[in-house]
Order: sequence, then structure tokens, then C-alpha cells
Amino acid sequence: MDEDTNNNSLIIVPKRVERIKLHERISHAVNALGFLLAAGTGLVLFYKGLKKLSGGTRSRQLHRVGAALMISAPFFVWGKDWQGWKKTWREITYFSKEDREFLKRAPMYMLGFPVKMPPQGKFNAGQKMNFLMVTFNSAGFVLTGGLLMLRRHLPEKAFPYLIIAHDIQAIVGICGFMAHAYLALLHPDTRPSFRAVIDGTVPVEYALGHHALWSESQKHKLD
Amino acid sequence: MQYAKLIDISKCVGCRACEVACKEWNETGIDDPKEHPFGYQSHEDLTYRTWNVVKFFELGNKKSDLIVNKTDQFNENLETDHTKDKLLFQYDALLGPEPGNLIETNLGSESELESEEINYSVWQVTKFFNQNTNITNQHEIPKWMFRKHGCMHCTEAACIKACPVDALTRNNELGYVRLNVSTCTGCGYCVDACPFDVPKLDSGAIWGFGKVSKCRLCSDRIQHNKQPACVQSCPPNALEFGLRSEMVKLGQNRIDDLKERGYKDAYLYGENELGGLNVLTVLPSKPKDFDLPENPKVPEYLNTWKKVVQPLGVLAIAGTALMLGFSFVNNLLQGSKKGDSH
Repeated sequence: MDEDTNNNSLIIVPKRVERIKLHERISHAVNALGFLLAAGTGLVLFYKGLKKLSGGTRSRQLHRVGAALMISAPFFVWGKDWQGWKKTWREITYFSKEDREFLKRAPMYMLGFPVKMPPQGKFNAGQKMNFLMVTFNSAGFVLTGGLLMLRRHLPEKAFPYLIIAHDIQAIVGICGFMAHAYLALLHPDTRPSFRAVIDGTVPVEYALGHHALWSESQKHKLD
Repeated sequence: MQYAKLIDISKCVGCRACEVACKEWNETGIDDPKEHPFGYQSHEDLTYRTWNVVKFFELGNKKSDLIVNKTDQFNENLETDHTKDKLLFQYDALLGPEPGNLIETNLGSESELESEEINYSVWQVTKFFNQNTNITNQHEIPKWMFRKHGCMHCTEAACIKACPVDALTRNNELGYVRLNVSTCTGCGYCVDACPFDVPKLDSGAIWGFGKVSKCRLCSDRIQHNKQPACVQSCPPNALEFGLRSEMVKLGQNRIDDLKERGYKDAYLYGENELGGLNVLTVLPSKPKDFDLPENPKVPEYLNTWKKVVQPLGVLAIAGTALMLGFSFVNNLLQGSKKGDSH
């Protein structure tokens, strides 16, 4: 805590502000681990250059472990705070005028050019897009992956559609994950937010800069 | 100098010695009998442990379903298990492989035939058919044929194209498709791709614990100048093994012979299919009569999947990495510019 003694009054300004709750962080970690396992082992069957890493059936066993982790991830949130999840979902699926403007400017921002982004709520439009992509892609993974496991009971014609759909989902998921990890770990503007997935907090300056509308709504907590 | 196996259906008596020899040499073990219900065939299809199965077929009419599917009815019509077994065996022996045996049999009354065991059995079988089906014309009585089913060792093998880790490769020198079990992940893509439905997965494959298996043309034997176990064991020499060119010649001679004997649709299967198979089959009639595809092909989806979707996927991932790399460097440059301006 910093102590601001201007105007002879004592105001306590927190350095960091909580952004992600514990159950959300657990869910995020389980999903990330599951995705890394599933994607890594899936790539072995996707790209022949990685064939030496297959380890026989080991890669397929780990692929299933990864899938199970990914499936279990949302239950940490749904089980702990269903109402909170519904609120988050409403927020995620609503794209305001600022969000649409954010998305227009996002490509240049992603490429590292200095772009002034419009003020955002708790989730910026890019995070919303990522959230939706992960949600629908995961649902797709469960559907196509599950059916692939059961394909001996399905018509022969189903296999090509299922495997190609599963592959396309994997490509979308891996590309999305790469961009997500880059922003969290390497991008100088957004890197400070990484600790949010560990202890749930982000620096106050970061919150004010990147989530101005949300920060405004949180001010009452300091009053 | 490729080798090939020649299967002559017109000579096969369905004894299944090849199945036993295969199991013995390769030590594949036995399947759970509960999973393979009663029928003429030892197994309905190939399994993880059974790399070749002698399939039973009928030329002319499709009445084999009567035997397999009307088992209960069949049992009710027979007095004892002993009679049933004896009858099935004799029926098998009497009707195949030469066509028309039963047609020429002069059936008498039950009392006349009782003393002659074989003819009595024929009478019983015929009576069974007449009582339980609409067969009235003796010419519609089926003629049994047998086809040894297993890996065809294709030149343009779909399984090799489908395998993501190159566990399946082709030995072009000897002419067979080998399976590297330690590399196999058990994904089953070869199972889906094979036009002959040959590779089979172990039961645990769905959970990632099983692998695939199939005939290896006894590569360990042929590399030591021995014939494959199945060929070695075949009593009527319905199986031959040798240089592919010689086997093609031998097969063509058999086809010519069969055609002369009235089998107009006789055909040497595998001479040109999928770039040439290393298991050739002398068929007395059309391939479809023996559960073989008329024009086997590498499934089209393999091209879409392996040559379009997967390269595009690699390109997309590489493109994303490139873009993020550019962004990282650009951010560093923009940062240093900001630093300079301050």
C-alpha cells in the first residue's frame, strides 16, 4: 500500500486490484494444462515431423487425460458460482460500441503498432472473442473427439468429417492459444496482467489503462 | 524382385489349416469364444488376434444366411447335438467346392437312405431346406466357396497413407506392408482407410491402450527363404507363394482353366488393383461374390485431409508464430523509439 499524504489526509491506494477469483484461476489453470496436453499429443498425429515424439500409445493416453482436464475445467466455475458465471456470460456475449471499435483496431495493436484503444469493461473485446472461441471450440472438441472415440459404432462415412473437423478445431485452438500466451507473457503492454492467473490481481495502473470502464465501476469498493 | 501369395479359391476346401498355422507361427493367441457365436466361419471377421479368416460364400444364391441366422430353428429340427455337428460337417464336405454336387444327387425316400449315412445326411439337409425355406428348385441349393481373407499388401496402400507416425511402411524389395508395433499409436486411421477392412484394433484402443494388428506376410519367414506359415500348411495347395511375376502367370493359367470349365466371370484379383496387390486371388466369379470391392481405391478423404487440411494447418500455425514474432520485434522497436523521444 502507498500512503498519499497530500492535502493532509491519509488515502490508502492499493498497488494491485483483484480481477480473477480463486475458482476461476483454478479453472483457467486446469483448462490450460489440459489444452497443452491435448494439443501437444494431438500434434504428434497431425504433423509427421513430430512422429518420433509419439511414444507409441502414450501420446493417445495423454491426449485423453488432456481432454478430461479440459472437460472438467468449467465445472470449477459452474460448481462454485453459477450466478457469477451467468453474469460473466452475459458480459462476454455483449459487444458494445467500444468493443466493436476495439476489434477494428486490434489487428494493428496485435502487430505491435502504437494504437490508442477505446476504454473497456472487465473483459476487453479481444478477451471476449477469445473466451467465446475457447468455449465453442471446446464444445466442438468434446463432440468430435467423443464421436471419434465411438466411430466404430457410427457409419463409415462419418469418420472423414469428424477427423477433419477435429483437426480444424485444433488449428483454430492452437493459433488462438499462441496469441493468448503471447499477450500474457511477451507483449509489453499486456504482460503485467499475467499475475492475474496466479494470484488473481493486476496492477492498478494496468486496470485503469486497459479496463477503464471496469475500474470506474470498482471505485465504490475503495470509498 | 517382389514376392506374392496366390490364393486359389477354386482349390480351397475351407479346412482353415492356414488360420491355425498363422496363429501358431505368430503366437497371436485365441479370441474369446463368447465373442464369436456359432457359425460355419471360425470368426465373423478378422480380429486383433486373428490375421486371416477363411470366409464362407455361396455361388449362385445367397442362402448362407439360412445356416447362420436360422441356427435356433436348425437346432430345433435336429435331435441331438451330435447329429447337428455331423450334419454340418457333412453338408460342408458335400457341397463345396465343386459346384453342383447336390444337384446331381438322386434323393430317395428316408427309409431307403437310412442305411447310407452320407446320403441320409444330404436328405436331412435337403428336407431342412424344403421345410424351412421356399426352396423348391434343387438348382437353387447353394454351392460353397471359401476365401482366405487377410492383408492384401497393396502397392498403393491406403493404410500407409493414413498412418500419422509411419508405423506402416512398405517393403518394396520383398513386396509387403510391414507394421512397426512399437511405433504404432493405435489411432486406428489405417482401420478406417483400408478398402479391405483388414487392420484391427485391440479392444483397449478406445482409451489409448491398444494397438493395431494385421498379417505381416510372415516377413520373418520369407526373409529366411521360407514360405509364409499359411502357405506352408495348405493341404490342397490352394495357397502358393513365390515371385510375383510367377504368381501372376500361375494365376492367369488358373483363370484360363476355370473359364474353359464354364466359370465365365473368373478373374485374377490383385493383378492391377491399387497398383498391384501382393496377395493375388483366383476368383471363380465376380469379386463382389466374395466380399471384395470391385474397384478398391485409396479413400478420397485422405487426400483432402493429408494434402490440404494438414499442410494448411501447419501453415496457419507457422503464420501465427511469424506474426507474433513480428509483433514482438515491432514492440521492441516502438519501445526504443519512445525511449529516444523522451
